[in-house]
Amino acid sequence: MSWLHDTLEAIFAVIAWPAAMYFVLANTSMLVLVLLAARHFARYLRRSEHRGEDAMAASPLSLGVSVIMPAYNEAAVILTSVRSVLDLRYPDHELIVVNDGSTDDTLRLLREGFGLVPDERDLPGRIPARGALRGVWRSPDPAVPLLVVDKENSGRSDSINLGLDLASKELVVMVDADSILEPDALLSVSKPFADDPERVVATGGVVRIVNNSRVQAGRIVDIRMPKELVTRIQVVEYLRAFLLGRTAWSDLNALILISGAFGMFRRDVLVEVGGLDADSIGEDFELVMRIQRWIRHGHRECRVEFVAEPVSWTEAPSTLKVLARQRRRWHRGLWEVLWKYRGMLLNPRYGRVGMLALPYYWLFELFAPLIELVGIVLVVLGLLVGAVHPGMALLLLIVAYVYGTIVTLAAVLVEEASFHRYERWRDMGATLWAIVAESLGYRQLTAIWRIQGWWAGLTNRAQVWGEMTRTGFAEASDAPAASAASAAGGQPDRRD
Amino acid sequence: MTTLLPPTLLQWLLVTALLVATVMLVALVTQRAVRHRRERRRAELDERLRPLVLEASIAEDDEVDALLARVRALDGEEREHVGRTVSSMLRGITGEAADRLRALADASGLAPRVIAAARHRDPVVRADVAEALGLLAPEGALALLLELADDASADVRTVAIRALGAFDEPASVDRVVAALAVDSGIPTSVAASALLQQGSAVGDRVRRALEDDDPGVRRGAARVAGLLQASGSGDALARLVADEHESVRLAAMRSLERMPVRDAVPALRAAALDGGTIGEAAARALIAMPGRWTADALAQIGAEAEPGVRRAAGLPRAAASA
Repeated sequence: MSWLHDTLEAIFAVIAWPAAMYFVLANTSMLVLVLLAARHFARYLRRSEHRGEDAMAASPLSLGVSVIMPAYNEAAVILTSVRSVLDLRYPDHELIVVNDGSTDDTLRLLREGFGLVPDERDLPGRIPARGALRGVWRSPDPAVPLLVVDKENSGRSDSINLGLDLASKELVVMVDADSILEPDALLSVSKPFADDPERVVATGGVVRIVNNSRVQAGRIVDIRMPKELVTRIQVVEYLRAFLLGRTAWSDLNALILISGAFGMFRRDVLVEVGGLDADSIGEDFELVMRIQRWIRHGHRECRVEFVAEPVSWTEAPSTLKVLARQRRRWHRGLWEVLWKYRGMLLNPRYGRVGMLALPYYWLFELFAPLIELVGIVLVVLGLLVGAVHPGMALLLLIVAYVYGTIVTLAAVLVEEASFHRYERWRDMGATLWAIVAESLGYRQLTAIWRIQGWWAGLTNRAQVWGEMTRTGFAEASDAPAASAASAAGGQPDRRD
Repeated sequence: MTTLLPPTLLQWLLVTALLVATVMLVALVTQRAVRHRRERRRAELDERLRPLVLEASIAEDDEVDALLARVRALDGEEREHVGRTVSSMLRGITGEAADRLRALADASGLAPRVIAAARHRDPVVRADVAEALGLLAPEGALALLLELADDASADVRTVAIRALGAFDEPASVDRVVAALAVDSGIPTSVAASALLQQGSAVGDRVRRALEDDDPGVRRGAARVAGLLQASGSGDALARLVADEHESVRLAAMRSLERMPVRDAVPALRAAALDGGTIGEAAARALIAMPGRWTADALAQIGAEAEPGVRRAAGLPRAAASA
């Protein structure tokens, strides 16, 4: 085995320093994003007294918002979800529910629950939709701005496109039927549009994890850390990567990803770029990339902004099986979108998106799991054949581990100083344990799943959506025989 | 056997990283403990003082002096808490109760503190002052707000314009109208909402603003005119339906939904037939008008307009194919 020993030693001699530099660069760039976000939060919170959201909530001049809610077999929650959206604090919003060929009672519950009547008005047809339209229903009560579109099953993106076609307000927001929204969600996310209606074309809101929190009538009333460790780790991940990372990218005017669970767009822009790509797995990412390209190609002084205020809560996978499927899908979506827009990479024409955000995503998001796993395999092999000093390998591992922990701890520290949504001491304990546990197997597992997703994308394997089982929070059901949502062949298990 | 990286470097890095992590942990715990303590103290104060504020807001005239005396007798921390409570309540209260709360804010020493901070070097403090001046309306507030409306910070200017909505004096109205201008740096929604808040007293000024040279002023005034039902502005709104700026046309159409003007029908019909967002807005304005004015226009839209416009006009799918 001396050839293996010699080969590994030669490899280590070449890659040790570059690998260390990569690791330091990856964690340091995340740390820089966390610090940028901290600066943003400090400014944002200092201005909280005079942001004027109350004035906006009362003003009939606020921009109108069309909320589009695709629904596939959502009988268990649909009435509560619809009521909670209609009750959002906002002066002018309508709700468009698109029933995506549900096989349960979703449509019947809506029709009976709101006494819907057929809407015979013409259909604009501005955005081509694949699923055949079966009917449009509306509330007869002008005080209930609800439109329900019934169509054959064709997936979430196509459903949203149909909803977009029928939307009548200036702004459009996409939400999932099972998302829990904050009462001021629309106010918070539309504020950048009100402040700068000519330049802001899209905003993203913070999506947090609802598992184990108490929910009543579609509103979150008691926020708690999830029970399962795997979900707790995701809370920490969401905090670091979604809340802080995206806030920082927004500050740099290089935000390229808005969560599909809560994104707001100017309707005219969405129509102009053609709505969502129904063939894309990372359709939310793809849409924002298309908008960024549209901005740069047209030399438009437009922005995509992220709003740090919590607006939406969603259930995260609580089992490894569902988590694995989600991560495979995310990474496949990441690869497909990055590849599709590879022409923007390191292209000065696309400003900070091309020169900063995309290189980061290629280097530290797409390639990260590959580099991490290759590193682990090489070090383990080196240890087995005696090419690596065991004590020093352990020391290196601990240093890497502690540095990664510092970055996550910084994110938690910023959250504690700003929004501090998990108030109980025991939640803090759970958070700290999740930070420690993240690197002990979780990261390595997700790296494997991410590579599997990437491979599936490279080999063009058919995407299977699978099934998302709801277990996270207790809520009264709308349907007599409520079942967990099944999305097999229908809509994706989760927008995150 | 390779050590991958120099051992001394790794040892040094480990010690540093452990130190940093420990400091962060301590900061995390300390931060939470301090915040919890501060929140508990505020809750205690709230439990004691909120009933006093509520009592003052609904007090009879002969009870007010005694309540104000009770507030003046509070210690500094308590008076500050009363001031905070009053400020937050004033955002949702108007009329006599609001006047009572303002008197309470005065007794708590909030108003003098706010005025004293009007020229603070920190723009966030000045913006907070502008907000408070609008809510508390102490003597001299208008002059200070007009000054803050020209502040170097755009944030302060925006809050000051919003706060000016509470004052309907001509100087305030003129400043708010000026803030509608395209290059004012003030969000249109803020200036227009302030104008709207100034109420029917600004009708004449709005009417003149509809003829302004600046498209931003025309747009803001057009948007507000319908909501205020500003008499005598119908003709100008009808003309603005054909304005050279799309945003002005849209604003005029939105106002015409609330304030029908027969002379606007031909221009709305033409706009509807052009289609797009403008066409849809024109169709919505038309269906808000009496049917006898719009029957011909709607028939033509049913026959010739694009589907989106027909939908906005409430026309059925059958009409499209007929």
